[in-house]
Amino acid sequence: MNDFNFDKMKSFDISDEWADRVLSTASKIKPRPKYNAKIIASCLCLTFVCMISVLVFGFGKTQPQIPTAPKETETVIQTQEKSENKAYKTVKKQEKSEVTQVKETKNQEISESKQEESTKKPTDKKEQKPTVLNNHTQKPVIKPTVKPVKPTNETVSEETQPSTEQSLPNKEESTEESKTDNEDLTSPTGSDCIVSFSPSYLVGDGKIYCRIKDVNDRPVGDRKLFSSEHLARFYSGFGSVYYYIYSPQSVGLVLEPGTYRYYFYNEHGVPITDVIVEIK
Amino acid sequence: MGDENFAGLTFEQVVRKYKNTVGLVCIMRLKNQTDADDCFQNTFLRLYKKSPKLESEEHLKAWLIRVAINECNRFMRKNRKEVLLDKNSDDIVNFPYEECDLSWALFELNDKYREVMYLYYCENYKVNEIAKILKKPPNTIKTLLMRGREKLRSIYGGEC
Repeated sequence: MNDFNFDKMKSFDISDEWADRVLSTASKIKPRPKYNAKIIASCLCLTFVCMISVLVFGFGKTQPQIPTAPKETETVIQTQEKSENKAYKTVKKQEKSEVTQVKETKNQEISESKQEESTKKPTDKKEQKPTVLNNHTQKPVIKPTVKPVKPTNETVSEETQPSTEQSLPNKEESTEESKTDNEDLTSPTGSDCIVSFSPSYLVGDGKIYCRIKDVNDRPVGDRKLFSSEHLARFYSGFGSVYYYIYSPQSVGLVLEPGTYRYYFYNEHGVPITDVIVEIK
Repeated sequence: MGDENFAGLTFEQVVRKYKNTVGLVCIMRLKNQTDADDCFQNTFLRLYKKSPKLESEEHLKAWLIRVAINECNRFMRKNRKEVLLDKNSDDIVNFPYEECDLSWALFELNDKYREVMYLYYCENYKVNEIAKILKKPPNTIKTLLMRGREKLRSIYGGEC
């Protein structure tokens, strides 16, 4: 066996091309960085110190978070609702306080206007109307001289209410309702009011139509007296929309002092709500 | 690249020094010059990327042989093709096996004898060292050496 020539095999030489190829390939590869033990230890110590400092100094200041996402959203919605309701109540209170002040001014204005009417011709009334309408169209926000009236829509359901124009409430029902709700719904200042109803009523063209009836439930003026153009949506809460109803004078209807009832319908004739307004 | 330290040697020095050892291991195992070249390259690149901590050059050499064998096994497992045993194959023809008398290693001996014989007679490893490199018991290595010698003796007669 020793005669077998292993020396030739030992002398075998792999060509340098292989080695050069390896070296050229290795030069293109970035070697894996070697992590220094000191650096790793220092990083660990730093993170440990940071965690300790957070636990000691920052733990007491942090507020507990709500664990699950759905509860968060619910609470957020509830808080929004509460905040909006509070805001609405504060607006109402402000309006009430301001209404008392405005009452006097309005009465003075009415008395003055009566005096002017007595002096001027009846055509002067028509000349005043466009100015009022323009004012309202330019200001779709809450007027400080308005006192909101509680809507009766919450008691009105779609099942009980007739769905067409022909099935409108009877005179007796309306008179009974007026008797029961008269105190709450009557607007002391007169023509302006606020109604509230669900947006689901706004079907069709999305407009609201109003018919004004007097105490004897006789219609006053055209049925399509008010459309959404004459309403100012100023507040949208969760589940209901509040509308500010401009005075009938703003659309060219002059009502004599007295108690009127506004019936609101959508395009399909479905009654939405009704409000009693007292015009002085 | 030259800053890397492999048992006191730079990467280039390692490649130049152990290219024959690794190259022959790859050639004997794959019997194909092209495939052996790929495994040869992968072996040294693995050393470069991994940069293992090796105490001495002996460890480095053993590590390279072991990795070369693993690379060849991986290559054969991946390609699953028959090892070229044909002497008329282009790769084999181009390889100067006759000049260095590698024909016994390439064609006559079985794979299991070939590596043991090579490591024992060419790389001058001892039985225990071969056992560690090939991860086999020393007695198995001894048996393989004995049978390989008998095989070569039967082929080359009294010359071996």
